Amino acid sequence: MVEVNGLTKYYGAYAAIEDVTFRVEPGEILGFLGPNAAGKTTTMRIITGFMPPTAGTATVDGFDITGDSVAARRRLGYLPEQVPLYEDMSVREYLAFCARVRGVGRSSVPASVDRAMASTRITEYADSLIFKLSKGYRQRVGIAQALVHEPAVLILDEPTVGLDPRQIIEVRELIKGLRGDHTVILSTHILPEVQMVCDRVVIISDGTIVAIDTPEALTARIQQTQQVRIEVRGPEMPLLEALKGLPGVQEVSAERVEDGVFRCLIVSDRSQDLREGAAALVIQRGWGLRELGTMALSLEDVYMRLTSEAPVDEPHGEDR
Amino acid sequence: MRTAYAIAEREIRSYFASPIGWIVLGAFMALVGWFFWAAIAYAGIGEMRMWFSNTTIVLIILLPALTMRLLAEERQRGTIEILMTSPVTDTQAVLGKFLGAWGFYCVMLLMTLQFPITLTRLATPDRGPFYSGYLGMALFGGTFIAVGLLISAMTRNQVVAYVGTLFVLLFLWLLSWAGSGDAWWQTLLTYISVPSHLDSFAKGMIDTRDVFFYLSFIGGMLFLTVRALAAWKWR
Ligand SMILES: Nc1ncnc2c1ncn2[C@@H]1O[C@H](COP(=O)(O)OP(=O)(O)OP(=O)(O)O)[C@@H](O)[C@H]1O
Ligand SMILES: [Mg+2]
Repeated sequence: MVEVNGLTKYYGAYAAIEDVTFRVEPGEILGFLGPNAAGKTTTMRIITGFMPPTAGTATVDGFDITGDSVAARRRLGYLPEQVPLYEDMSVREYLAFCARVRGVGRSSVPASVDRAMASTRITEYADSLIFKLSKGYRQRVGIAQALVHEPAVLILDEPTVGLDPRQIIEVRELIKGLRGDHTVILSTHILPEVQMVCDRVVIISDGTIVAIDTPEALTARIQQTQQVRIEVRGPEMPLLEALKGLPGVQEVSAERVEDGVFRCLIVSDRSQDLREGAAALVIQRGWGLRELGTMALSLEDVYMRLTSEAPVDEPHGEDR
Repeated sequence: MRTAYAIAEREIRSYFASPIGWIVLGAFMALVGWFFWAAIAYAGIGEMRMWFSNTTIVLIILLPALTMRLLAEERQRGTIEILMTSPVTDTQAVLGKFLGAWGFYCVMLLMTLQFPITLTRLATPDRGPFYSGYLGMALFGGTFIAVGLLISAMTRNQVVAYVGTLFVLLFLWLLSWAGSGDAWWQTLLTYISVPSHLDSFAKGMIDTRDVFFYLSFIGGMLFLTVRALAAWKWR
């Protein structure tokens, strides 16, 4: 639905993005993840036709964003990062204007506006002037304007920034509800958001793509080891020795929780699932098994590794 | 065209929703009203030629205040990002902005219709120059608005847009003074100067050459504005 090929953008001599290539399938939600100044907004501005790329192409539903710009933009809804709105209009007037400019027929404008307001839950503020709205409600108006003409593709630049926790959940539900009918690209800094909402993730760092995959595959790919967390009531030294004796164990550490109770972290090969073995061992020795579970390597760890020049588990060097 | 019309309509509403629209409208009515009644009181003139030419000076000061925000504000607030990622061509956007400001200006002109109406009540003047004069004023204001729109496309600062437009309009106005003479360059300057084409309208003549001058001047400015907008994207 959206295809981005070798996109490069120079601001003067500074390369904001270089050779960015990815595609988004119809109905998919793609997360665009990266640290500040990675080039997320720049990429989105190019895909939406706001600025031309220095090199490379982007197409929306087969229409080239520079060659067939208007046709491509007709299929797009865009929420810019700063949510710039015409403040002196009421929500309803503003959305009606957006609908008309996007080519919604005059007679269906009111219905489109009502639908967009209902799905972003701003109907009760329909006649408020936009400059009087709180940040969260402005954000919703921004999402509503991106939706008002029912575009096939939605591009949302940090849609949950500045919202309160309840609103964040609502907006995420809203975006999840778009899956299937709309193709969505959203940028974010918030990792759990990607895990919760997105089908696939593009991780971009310093203007180049460092990974594209599903959140699960990304964590699996980077995960070389498995970690099991176990909490046991028993003597410290014999416990550590016994756990180290399990097959495939690389490292065991223990931390005292209370008198005679220890929380241990067992690091092993990825191929080994130590949970059953560890449980059997503790019970066989007559110690008290209090808690047992695996520690999945989170997307956060993956992200940290991919977006920092030095790998996280090695000392940071000054080489640049 | 539908898109340009939607943009123009929004622009006109926004003048009425903002203090700047009302200030310009109020100041305009106060100044041109004063010129009208002063002319009647001192000279008892039963025609409007003098009034039309005085009004041009008022427009030099007030129209830049209407045009300064057109594109500069969009850029400064960032709203241009939503506008230009909508399926709107640069030409439609520029045309919409122009028609919005020009539409508001026409409302200002309509409010002054009370003056010629008053004249026809007080005496029996020749009405021809009124009609042609108003047509001339509508076109003339259009040229000023087109200049203001172009300058508003070149900056994101509204104050800069106002001062820049005021300067250019004053310059265009002064050209008609510098051009009073018979040498070829003076004729040329007179031709270029925007207000000089208003005279014949005010006298009651609709010269197609003047209409052509105004329309092509507006067209040229709008074309340059479209180019300025495109150049800004490639910055
Ligand atoms: N108009 C511009 N002129 C010059 N440089 C720019 C411009 N816009 C962005 N940049 C630079 O390009 C780089 C990428 O910026 P971009 O806004 O795309 O990052 P981002 O990933 O969206 O960051 P954030 O997470 O902070 O929003 C930054 O170094 C920024 O300074
Ligand atoms: Mg950004």
